[in-house]
Amino acid sequence: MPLPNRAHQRLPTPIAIRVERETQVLVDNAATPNSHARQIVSTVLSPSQPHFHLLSPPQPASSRLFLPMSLPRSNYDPRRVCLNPFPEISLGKHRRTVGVYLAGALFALANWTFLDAAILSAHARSPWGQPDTPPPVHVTFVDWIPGICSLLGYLVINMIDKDRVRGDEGFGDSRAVWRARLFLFIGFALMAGGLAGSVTVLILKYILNGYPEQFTYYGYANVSQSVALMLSAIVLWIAQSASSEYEYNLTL
Amino acid sequence: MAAGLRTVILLSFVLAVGFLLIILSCALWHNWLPLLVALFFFEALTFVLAPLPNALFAHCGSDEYGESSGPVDLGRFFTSIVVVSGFALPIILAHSEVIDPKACAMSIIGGGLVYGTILAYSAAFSQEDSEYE
Repeated sequence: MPLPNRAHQRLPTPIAIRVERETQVLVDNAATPNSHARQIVSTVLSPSQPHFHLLSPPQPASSRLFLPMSLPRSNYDPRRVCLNPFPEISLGKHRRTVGVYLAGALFALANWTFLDAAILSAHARSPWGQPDTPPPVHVTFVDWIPGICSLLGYLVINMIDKDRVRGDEGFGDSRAVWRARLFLFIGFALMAGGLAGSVTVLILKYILNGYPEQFTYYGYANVSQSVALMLSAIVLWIAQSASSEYEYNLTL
Repeated sequence: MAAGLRTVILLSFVLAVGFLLIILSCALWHNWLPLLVALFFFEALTFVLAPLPNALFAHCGSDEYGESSGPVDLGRFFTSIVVVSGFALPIILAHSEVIDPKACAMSIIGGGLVYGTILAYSAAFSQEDSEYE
């Protein structure tokens, strides 16, 4: 009576060797920025027995080639850092245009917000219910200073050649790069100073004096002007400097 | 060209309605400040039309780089500023109660119609131009 587990017995034992080899080819191509050409060659070497279907269906040596348009399995992307990757907003070739338009809209919104406060202050009337008392506070030159600082910073930032700041080696001299970075620093310092100044004006002039909400609006308009100017500068910077295709490879 | 003719007639009708709204928003309240909106949108017209050929040429010139030049960006930037100003001005005037809120709404709608007409006109007829090339 043959025992099935004896080692020296020459039973035809089906042995399946499944060799899976995954070759991941990263193609950093501008045309297909998101997809990698993944080529999975899975080769199954199986002894040719007729009852092999108990383990796995007998497969011939197969070679599947995933075309570059197939979605990559995200856990194979070696470049990702976060667990859930950021949604990739690709506006394509209109990205620069959209960014420039958006920056212009933000710029106009910023200045009109503050001008709204100024016009409102010029046409301000008495507080509610007291027709004889004049309005307690007006937009004066103090309120204009943060906006002017922010505007100057905006101009300085956008007048810098952005290739200089990047400072590629062997491109231009290093002193120009240094000066460009100094100017960039001055510009950002002016913008940040404008933001800080507007917050200062809001707190010192409007909130601490306890004016009604009708007048604290001037201070809030000032702050939102600075914030929107900063946003506009950032949007414009991104739109103008990220137009090259190298940025596509930056997956966070 | 029947469709083209119909488009032209429709667009001119819409343009007339837009102007009517702007003028009415001024005349009904005897306050001609909303007319500034029309000025802004005409500036917007020039600013929109000005960078267009420039953009086309830039596209032809540097196709493989995919970069547009600085003047084109500047034109788009100013276009956007002017358009937003055209919408913001009546709102601000109404906020400080210089003009009536109804006049504000009318002038915004009128300005939007005028500007939309201009955009639609340039889009429709520049497309036909490129078809023949």
